[in-house]
Amino acid sequence: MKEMKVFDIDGIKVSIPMDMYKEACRVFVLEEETSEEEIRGNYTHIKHLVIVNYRKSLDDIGKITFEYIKNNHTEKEISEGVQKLLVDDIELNGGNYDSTK
Amino acid sequence: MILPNNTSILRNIKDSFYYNGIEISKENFSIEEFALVCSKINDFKHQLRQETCLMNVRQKSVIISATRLLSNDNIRLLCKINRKNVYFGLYNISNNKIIPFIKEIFKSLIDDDMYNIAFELNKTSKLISKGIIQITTIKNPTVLYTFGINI
Repeated sequence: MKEMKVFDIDGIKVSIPMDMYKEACRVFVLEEETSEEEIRGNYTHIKHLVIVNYRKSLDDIGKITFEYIKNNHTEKEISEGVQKLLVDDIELNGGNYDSTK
Repeated sequence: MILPNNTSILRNIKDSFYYNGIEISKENFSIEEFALVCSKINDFKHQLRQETCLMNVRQKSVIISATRLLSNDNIRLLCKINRKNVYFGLYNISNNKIIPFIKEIFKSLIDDDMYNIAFELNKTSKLISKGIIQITTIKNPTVLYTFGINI
């Protein structure tokens, strides 16, 4: 069983593998949560990724809301979407995370 | 409805005018749309004031950061900030091109987009303050629209 980092985003539990979280922090995609500001920053970023994952075009901006996602998707689906975006961002920042491990 | 409290920043330009860098056409001007743009800027200014590292670093450095807008696209929302001004644009990470920002997209952004770009700016400012980076890799951000705001 993989150790998971869990973010509470307005009532939704968004889970990512702990090793993914550590790699995301190493390449500055997320922060290490050593202060309230960093905890708030990660919350802001993860919540944004939850929404972004369901936007497919510029027309979707403003139409896809967090409440809609919360009511129509499971925590598992939401978490998987966030993980996919985080892996992309880790690679973009020069990091390396193998999601098939 | 939040309306601008500093009308001196409105500039008349032919058939349209600019409010804080966003072009507003007189042909299809609507007060609701205008208020929405103003409200978005005010939300962003409020968020920036909460970001302590950003507020310290911007006194001497220009800070640039970008955030993702779509799940499967290379277009990012780009923001540049210095002591006096904030600039917004869209940035294509695959060809390093900056795309001019239009009010239709700006007014569609939600608070979470604005808060996240503030978070990204603050994160970048931390890296600058720790000496991990000196400048960002985004080139030629001069074509971005200017936001002459006091933060």
